[in-house]
Amino acid sequence: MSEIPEVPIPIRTVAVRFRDTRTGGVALRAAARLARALGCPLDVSVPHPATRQSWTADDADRVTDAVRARIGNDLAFAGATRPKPCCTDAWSNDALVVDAELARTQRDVTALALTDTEFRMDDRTAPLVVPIGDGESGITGARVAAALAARLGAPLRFYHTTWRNPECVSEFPNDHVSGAADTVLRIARLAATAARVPHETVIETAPDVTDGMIRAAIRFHASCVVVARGGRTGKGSYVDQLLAESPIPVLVVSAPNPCPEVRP
Amino acid sequence: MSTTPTRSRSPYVVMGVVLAMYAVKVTVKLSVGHAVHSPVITGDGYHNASDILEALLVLLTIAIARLPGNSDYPFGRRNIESVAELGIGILLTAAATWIACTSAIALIREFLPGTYTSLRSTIPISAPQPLRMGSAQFPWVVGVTGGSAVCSFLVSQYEIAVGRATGHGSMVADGEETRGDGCIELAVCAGIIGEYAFGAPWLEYPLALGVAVFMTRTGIEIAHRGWGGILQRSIGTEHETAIREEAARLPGIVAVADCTTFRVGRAAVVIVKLVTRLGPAATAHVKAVFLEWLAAYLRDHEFPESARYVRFDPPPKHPHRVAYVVAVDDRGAVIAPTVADATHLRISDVADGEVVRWADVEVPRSPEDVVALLREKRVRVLRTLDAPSPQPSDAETLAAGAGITRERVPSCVTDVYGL
Repeated sequence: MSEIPEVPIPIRTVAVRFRDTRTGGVALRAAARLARALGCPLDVSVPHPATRQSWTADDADRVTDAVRARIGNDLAFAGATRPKPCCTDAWSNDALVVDAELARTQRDVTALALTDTEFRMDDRTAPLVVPIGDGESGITGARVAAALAARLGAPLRFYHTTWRNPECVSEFPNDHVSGAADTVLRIARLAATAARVPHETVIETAPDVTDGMIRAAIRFHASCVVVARGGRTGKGSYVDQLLAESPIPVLVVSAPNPCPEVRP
Repeated sequence: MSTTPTRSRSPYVVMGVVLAMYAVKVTVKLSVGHAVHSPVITGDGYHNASDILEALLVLLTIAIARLPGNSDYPFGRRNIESVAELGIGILLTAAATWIACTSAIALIREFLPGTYTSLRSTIPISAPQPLRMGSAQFPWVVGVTGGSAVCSFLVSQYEIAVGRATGHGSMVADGEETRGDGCIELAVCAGIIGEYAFGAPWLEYPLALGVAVFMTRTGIEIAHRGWGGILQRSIGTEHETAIREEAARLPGIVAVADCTTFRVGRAAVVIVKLVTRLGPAATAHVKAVFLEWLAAYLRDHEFPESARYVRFDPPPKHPHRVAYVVAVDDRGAVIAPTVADATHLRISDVADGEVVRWADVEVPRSPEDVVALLREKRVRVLRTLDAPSPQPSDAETLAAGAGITRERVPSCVTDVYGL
């Protein structure tokens, strides 16, 4: 594991699929707010069937007007691009896509799953929660979260739940943390410090890992849970369990990990 | 060793201590009172004998209140504590009134003899009897009344603390009543000292008046608490507001539909209804965290025991029907700009802003038949593509006349609308 946090790959675009439904509206507004907060253009795509007639300027105008009407004038900032037609899920690796389905199905895309809950990014007291395990994915998640938190002005909360060490009788969860997890936590804190983000670490011995992560995030009134997919899991990844059960938006970071640039 | 603190905080042990204290008090006060011919001390001894009865009633109340709930008594029998509280509150207020009246009359006799005589001629008032004791009895009398007061204060503190910790309101009320007894005993002690040292036995009466005011206030508070418990008063607007605010902060909560609270004895019952679109797994997590918070909040706000219920309901679905005008061929379906360009009407059921079911129906030949179909299917909105300068077809014009709204949608792609 590398000791020094790497310079993150910047997120250059916030993307969302245009869906004229209630949940589509929630995703669109969240994407617009996120794009504004990160200073990125908003890329709205329309899944245009390739077999149909070509996409015209009029089509783009209509969808642009619809997007602006739905996100409101305050979010219709200059950076918002015209909608791009697409018939495949071809997202660049520097895009953050607001799409729950994509977060579940595409491993190579950084996607935000909203799960019927607004991303409360305007609340500067609501932390981003980063579950930390003993693998590299914790570091990836921490780096992206630190960069994102710096841009949003939000604090970070690292959460680690550890299995009890049968050889240790201590009631303090910290005493049960493995060496590998301790190293990951240390690097995660370094990433937060480097991004000048206020951060805190909470360690528990929760009876269930997924329950522990989700319930801690609810207790902290978190705005988002940031996780990265690990490469080692054979079955039942924590990321998939989080996506299935979390009432809080989950940002799933792809590998290689794109991050918003940290600007002072 | 480790069980000692638990035992000392058992309500039964506490009431045992209270009973033992009263037994000693009755024995000593009756003996000393008869020995020094003091009707005040003897009377107080009999008063303590009635306190024994009250303590036994409290003990019985606690035993009943601790019985577990069953199908007949889903919240247990904790409300009996409220009945006991109301009874103790009324008794304490009555005792305070009696003390106040006696003290006031004694003061009138002392300082306004004329008024006292005229009062006696109209109201049958028994004359207060002064103490008769010599210097040999004085230390005993002061020791008994002063020691009794100290015992009352110590035991009442113990009783109130354990009563609060275990949620037994009747025990708290009894403790407060015992504290009132202690104050009266102090006043009597002051009177005895006043008579012996300064020849001013009246000193007892203004003190007793002050104690009566204090006892009345306590008695009314206890009775009010019991009354609130019996009538299942809410736990307070400030607590309900705090609970609502915390619930609204939970993720995925659209609205707090209801927050009802009431008391059963000293226990709080909280029923919260939340509106959410979250699925069962996410809801389970939200519920677990909220219940945990609620228990801690109530514990921190004088409700050591509580029953908490949280129910989740989906928001109103506002179901209605819309029809998308679609052109279907072997390449798939797209939204058409007018009915004349369409092959089908996609009749769609919308619930909570999402299409939950659709079925294609071929466009009838005549515009009148189109409108008839839309009306038969109870379609409220007809959606067409917002194409450049589309002229509405006859069907759309007729539909508008029939009260069916026409809406133009921005994209021809059916996926955009969840179709």
